Amino acid sequence: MIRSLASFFLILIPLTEIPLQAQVSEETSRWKRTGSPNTYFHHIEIRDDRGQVIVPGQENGRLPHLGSTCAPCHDVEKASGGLHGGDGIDGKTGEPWMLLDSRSGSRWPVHHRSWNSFTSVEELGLKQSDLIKQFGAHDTGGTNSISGMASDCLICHMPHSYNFELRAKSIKDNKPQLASFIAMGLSDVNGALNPRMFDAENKVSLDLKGDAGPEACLHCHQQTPANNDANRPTWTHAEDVHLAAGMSCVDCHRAGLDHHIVRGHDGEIHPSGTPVETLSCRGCHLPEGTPVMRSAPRPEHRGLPPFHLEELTCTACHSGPMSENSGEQVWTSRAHRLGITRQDRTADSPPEVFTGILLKDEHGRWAPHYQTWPAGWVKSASETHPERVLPPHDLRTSLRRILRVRSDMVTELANTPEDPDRTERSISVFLGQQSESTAFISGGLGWKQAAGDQLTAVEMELAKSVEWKQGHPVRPASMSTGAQGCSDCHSTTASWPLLESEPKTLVDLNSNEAQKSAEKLNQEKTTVFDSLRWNLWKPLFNGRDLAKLILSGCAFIAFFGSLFRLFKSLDRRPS
Amino acid sequence: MKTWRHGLQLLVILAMLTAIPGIPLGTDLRGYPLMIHITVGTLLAVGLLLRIKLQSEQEHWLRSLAWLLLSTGLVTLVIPMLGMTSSDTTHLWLETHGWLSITGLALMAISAAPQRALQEKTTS
Repeated sequence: MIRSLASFFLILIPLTEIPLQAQVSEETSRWKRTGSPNTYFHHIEIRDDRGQVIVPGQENGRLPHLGSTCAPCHDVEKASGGLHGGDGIDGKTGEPWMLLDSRSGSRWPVHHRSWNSFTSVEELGLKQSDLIKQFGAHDTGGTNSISGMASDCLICHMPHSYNFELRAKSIKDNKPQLASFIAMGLSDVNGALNPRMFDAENKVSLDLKGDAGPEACLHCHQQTPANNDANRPTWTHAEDVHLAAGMSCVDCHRAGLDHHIVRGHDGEIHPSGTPVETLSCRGCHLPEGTPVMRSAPRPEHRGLPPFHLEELTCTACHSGPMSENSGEQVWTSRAHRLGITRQDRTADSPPEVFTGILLKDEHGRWAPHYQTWPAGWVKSASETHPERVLPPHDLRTSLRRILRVRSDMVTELANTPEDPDRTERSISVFLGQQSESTAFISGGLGWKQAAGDQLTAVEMELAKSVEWKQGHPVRPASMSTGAQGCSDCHSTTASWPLLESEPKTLVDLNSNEAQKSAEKLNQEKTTVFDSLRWNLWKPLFNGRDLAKLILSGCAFIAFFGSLFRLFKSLDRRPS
Repeated sequence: MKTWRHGLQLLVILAMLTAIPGIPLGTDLRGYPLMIHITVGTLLAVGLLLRIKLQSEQEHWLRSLAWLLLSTGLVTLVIPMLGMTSSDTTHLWLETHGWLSITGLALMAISAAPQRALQEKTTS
């Protein structure tokens, strides 16, 4: 019996291998590869959504389709997924998208991933058309991306001749499917192909690259000081030390065709199961055992007590703004639509995003974070429901009817010299006409109606700040915090480790009730750092070099003296 | 003189006690315990220096060896403090500081009896 069963399994094993082999051979035969690391020059035909070649002048209403154009040679379906396409594990918190709705004064950090404290797309009641309009310009698309648009391969893989602003404009004009063709000048807004781009074979030549250089990534992953003052007296070199050394973003943030882009943090679990530890700061610069990247400088951190490396992330000293600029307001590509020309982008343009805020990360280490503060209308928690966001578009009609808000709530309800309580009174009146649980969130606090058209501050979960870790730009060792010695942090003048961003409230509140209640709540807040210990430490660093000298002198004299005394004792020993 | 010597020994014991939060191995002292340890250690360093100058009585060689180990322990702490080692090797220097100091204290306890016998012999 056992023998016959064994024979059965022996026959079965080779059979189970057949489909696997067939699958592999199908995969290897279907997709073309040059096998060379050199760039392949794309000389290709443009196709419609059915994969049929389109010739300029003979479109017959057919529109060019990027997926179908790439599909003969590339696994577009696979390339549209991955972490970059919104798939895969959520992992640690990343940058949110910012929903800005001026008509309701709302500023909600939103993401489709289940990251703490970010509002979900469902909560905000956004339709796909809203998502495309709001976030499409800076979303490369993908299977599960925020906008739900199809992947635009060219925004990342076409280093030259891709007009980012034209792409943004096409998306705004409700032509997301044509955006990439319009951006590279291949088609007009109606989908008519540009004949001058085609050769005699009705093909186009495209300069596409696997790694299109940092500029491609920086379209959407950029940050710059919000005051944008070219004459500021402090050093604001934005370039990352790795880029300055000739590296590219994808040297560390690698991905295969699956686009599971390595995020590059400690303890990262890559969806592919590939060990990616060497692509983090520590993995590359502080490897255990044999270094993998032999050319990566190995920092010695001379004189730095080693527990700093356990308590701080590398970025705490090497990344983000210089310590004197910590806590400054920045613009980020996604939140402030960088790359799109605007005349009204000012230092105060919402949302306020602060940089270099030192907070603990998921490993319990201090790391610089970006920080922003939500604003908008919410329902407070009840026995049956937790706190929840009121979708901005649901409030527009009532805001218009009750407060006559037409386009910008903050500006239209702003206080005036003749009416210094206008904002507070208006919000209070509006809240009075909503259910009792409705509140307005701004400046890190919730605001509820109080007697006499005033507002009173309440603590609310949704009003709390949201943060995400800051990784770049990485500064060289000579510009890192601590390069000038311990006193970069441990001095009576250095305060950046205790820094907290101060939220600006949208509503200018003047009544006693509002000011008193806000003051009370703000006093109850504790700093993230043990400031008592920190302040006790500080004076110890005054004259530290002298103290070191004295201690060293004592130690060495004591050592030689003790040695002398030992010899003396041994000499006196009776023989 | 005796009180002064006892005071120094008390400082050694205090330094050991304040180092307890640095256990287990591989965990460096930090925060408040480090502040206290450094304060006691600084007083001890000055005490060790004064001992060389002030102590004139005869010492048993085991007791001298104990003080030498404690002084060497202090030197192994000072070297990384002066920025002469990298962060990786600093751990080793700090551990060496700990082990030398513990051995010194242990030897000081062991040397108590021979030291007393030597003193009695000297006075008689």
